[in-house]
Amino acid sequence: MGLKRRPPEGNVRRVESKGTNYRGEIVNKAGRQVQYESRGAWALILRLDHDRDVLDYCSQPEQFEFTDRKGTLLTYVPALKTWTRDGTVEIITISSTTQLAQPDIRLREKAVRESCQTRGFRYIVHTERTLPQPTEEANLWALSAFRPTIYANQEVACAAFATLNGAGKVLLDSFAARTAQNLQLPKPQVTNALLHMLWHDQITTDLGRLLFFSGSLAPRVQIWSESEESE
Amino acid sequence: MTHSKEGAEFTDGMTLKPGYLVRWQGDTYRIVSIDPNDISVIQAESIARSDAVTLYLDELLAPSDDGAPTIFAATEKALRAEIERRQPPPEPAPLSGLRDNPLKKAAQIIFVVETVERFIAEWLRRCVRDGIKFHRTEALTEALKELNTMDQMREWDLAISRPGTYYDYLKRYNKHQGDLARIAASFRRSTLNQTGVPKAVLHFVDTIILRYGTRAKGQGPRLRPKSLYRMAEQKLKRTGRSLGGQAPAKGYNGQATSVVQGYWIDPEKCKGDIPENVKNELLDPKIPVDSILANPEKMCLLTPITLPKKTWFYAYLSWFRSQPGMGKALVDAQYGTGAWDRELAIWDTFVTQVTMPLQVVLADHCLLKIFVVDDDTRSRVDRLWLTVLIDAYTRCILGIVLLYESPCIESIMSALRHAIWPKNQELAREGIPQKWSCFGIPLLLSLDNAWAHHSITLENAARLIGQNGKYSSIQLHWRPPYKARYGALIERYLGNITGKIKELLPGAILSNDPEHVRNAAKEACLLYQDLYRVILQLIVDYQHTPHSELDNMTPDEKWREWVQQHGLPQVPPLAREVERLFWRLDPGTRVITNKGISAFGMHYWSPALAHAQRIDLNGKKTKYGFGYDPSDISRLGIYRNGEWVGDVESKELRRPDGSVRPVSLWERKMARDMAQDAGRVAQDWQDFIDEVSDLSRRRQAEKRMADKESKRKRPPRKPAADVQAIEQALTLIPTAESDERDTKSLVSFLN
Repeated sequence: MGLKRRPPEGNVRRVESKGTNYRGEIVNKAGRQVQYESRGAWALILRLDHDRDVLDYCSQPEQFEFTDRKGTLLTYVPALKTWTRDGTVEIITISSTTQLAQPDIRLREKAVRESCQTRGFRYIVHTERTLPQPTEEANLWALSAFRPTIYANQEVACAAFATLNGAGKVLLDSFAARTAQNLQLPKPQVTNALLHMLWHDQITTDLGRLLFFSGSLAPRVQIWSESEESE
Repeated sequence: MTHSKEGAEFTDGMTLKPGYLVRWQGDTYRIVSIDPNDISVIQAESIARSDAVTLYLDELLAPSDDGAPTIFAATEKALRAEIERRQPPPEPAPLSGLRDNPLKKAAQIIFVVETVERFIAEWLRRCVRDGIKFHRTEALTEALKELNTMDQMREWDLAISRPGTYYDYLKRYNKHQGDLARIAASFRRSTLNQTGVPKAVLHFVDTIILRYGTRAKGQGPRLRPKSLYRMAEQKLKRTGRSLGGQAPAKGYNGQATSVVQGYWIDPEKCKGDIPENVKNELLDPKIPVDSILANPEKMCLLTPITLPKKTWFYAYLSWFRSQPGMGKALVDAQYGTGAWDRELAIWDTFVTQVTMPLQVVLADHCLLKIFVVDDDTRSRVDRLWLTVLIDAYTRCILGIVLLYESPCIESIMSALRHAIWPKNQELAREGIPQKWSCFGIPLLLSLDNAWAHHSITLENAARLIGQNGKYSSIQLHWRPPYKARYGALIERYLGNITGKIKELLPGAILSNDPEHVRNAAKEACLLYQDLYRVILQLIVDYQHTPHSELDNMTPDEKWREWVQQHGLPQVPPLAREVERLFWRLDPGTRVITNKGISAFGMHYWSPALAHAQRIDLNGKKTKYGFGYDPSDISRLGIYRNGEWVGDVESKELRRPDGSVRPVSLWERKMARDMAQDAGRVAQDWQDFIDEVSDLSRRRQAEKRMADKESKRKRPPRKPAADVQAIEQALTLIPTAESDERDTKSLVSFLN
């Protein structure tokens, strides 16, 4: 009998190698060990971790049963389960559009959806169209390096809120230089604090444009306050 | 919406009436009745399962999560037409280039399989409805009888009499997902269209198709056949100037034609894999062809080839594109496993996307090809495992560990511990003046699939090092198994450092030849600490050597460039609780008894245990986990539900002055062996632990005596020429320029 590692807490199974798939585990914002089994799942985890409305999420949450066309009883484990700020619980599956067109997969989707409906969960299917695109993924990945709270700086946060509120879009680099001068702080510390705020969605930027290029902050990265965006 | 007597009608033409069909959430229902008092309640039966269900109009009309709207239709035909209109089937493989016969055969297979499966499904429904037991074989036999009477089958003059033939059809249908072109292509012999085409020509054409003509949808544009052929012409003309480029010659069909000639790699001349670097250089317009042709090492791999005719090329391209997985299986079968991945460079997607230090750190182990001798007797030879962590962005070596043990939890944990904190004190202790400035917590640690890399100890350390979000936690990423190219960066460095060790140091194993191994064992004179110092020196030199892939910056310069912009990485202070993260967690649990906690044949105790819970609320004994440092098992960390409770010390190892005598796991193992050799039980190992120390002291004294003796006699060959050998080896370590040259040659060799 082959040896098997027990999965991380809250996971019903361990992720497996399927040739060359992306496979690993990450510690999420709630300190939970979350597994991923594909590049898409990894990119989605980055987005969920960045999203302020998502309070917590776990991987491989539970096993669903369904019957295929031949009448065989099969099991399926969705990729993720999320708990959001408004109390919604979501079960998330990641699949490709071509895979979703297969009859057995449709039966599976139907069974999972029904099960979710009866339990009051939302069932979401992400495909290559809805997952983070390469630029967003690269930006989220780079910004995730500034997630630790050690990068947070109260003075910089106050200055950012005070300056950016109503000021429209400003260049991150020049704003960091100005703030560093005003607060008598080293510029790297201010830049890191701003990137920390960007990750935690306290200030906003366009994630559709590359933030880091060849080891440096891209020259024309703009930031603005969230209220600015809602207006 | 307007109400009618029978049901409901919508403004866009949709109608709900008994007998009508509804397609909702991937299932099809037939409406049985509509409640006249409440039009929103619909009684229906599922077509697939024949069971009755109640549908609610508001659910049917609500937008679904997958974006597929509910479809209403009067007949099955209308429903199918509507489904196909809204969800067009995936684009089939191109049919051009396929002959009529295989296409006809494929059409027959599709017809037979789909008809029979429909018949069997209908049979199943009838069985369920009538409460009869369903037998597939019986259903299949009936289905085949029914099939053979159909006009279409008579028209084809085809009859399927045996279920076995049907299953063959079904297997082929499933394998090619019912795609007409793929099924038709599967009838071709594997050598079709390849007869008479030399391997070099085929390789050239495959390379061109893979590079410029094979991209899945959404992965960028792919060239049309005509442009692809022109591209092939241009690439070949470039390499064939000395052959006259374009010259009249005979084609493969023997007709005189204007053909393009040039040089390309002959796979038959290549020993092992086809060299990627030569292929890239031949295709790279920036590299002069003359320089490639002037290199005898490369020229001997090349052969003059002639580009095939357009018709052949188009037919081959069409066939290539009709292969499943865009020809991956074909290319891998023809040029070796991994050729597809190599060609499309999908192995290093992480490495090419890194934008900052510590974003991706790769770890790997390597058994060094050198013998070292033991400290005590200097006669027992052994080999060491080197574990290295390399940063993908700066190419800095982040941390290392050199151990006698084969890769295990200690290897990765110790290397990680070495990587996270600054190493300058260690360098100063070893007398190395240069700086090794990089350190920090890796954001993503790329590991191979060693058992230890899936350990709970590593998982816990990766999570807890973040200290609840204050610092970065470590993302563990496992590379695909049996695919070393995904760790090419680290493999290359390990190849580099082992090559240097082999070249410079006494005791190195030059090859697997038993003679070489024996000679290496005879010459071995370096101690563990000597080899460790040499490796440190080699790494520090590498850190300050220009790297061709960093625009000739050194890894250290690349690191400092980032540090100037973003400051030093933030790491937690190396306190006792942080050190405890790197201890090995034992998979077992223990309970607290009056003697304390038992482990390793000893009893551990601390005053904190007096207040620890012994019986839980269910009346059962409370179980505690424990962790330990393998280099000192005199102390354990006690955990309950993953939370640290306290540290406990061994009672048996306590000295009269109250301190605890440190004992490593290996010392314990040795003492157990000694106990068994002396005819005692292994549990008596503690009685022998003093003997281990005595033996060490005795051997050291003997060594000092032997050194004195050897100095006095000055024999022609010293038994332990360690110090001089190292000094000599260190002077031989190449300079920055020669190191770069070595690296380049090694990289080109590896490529």
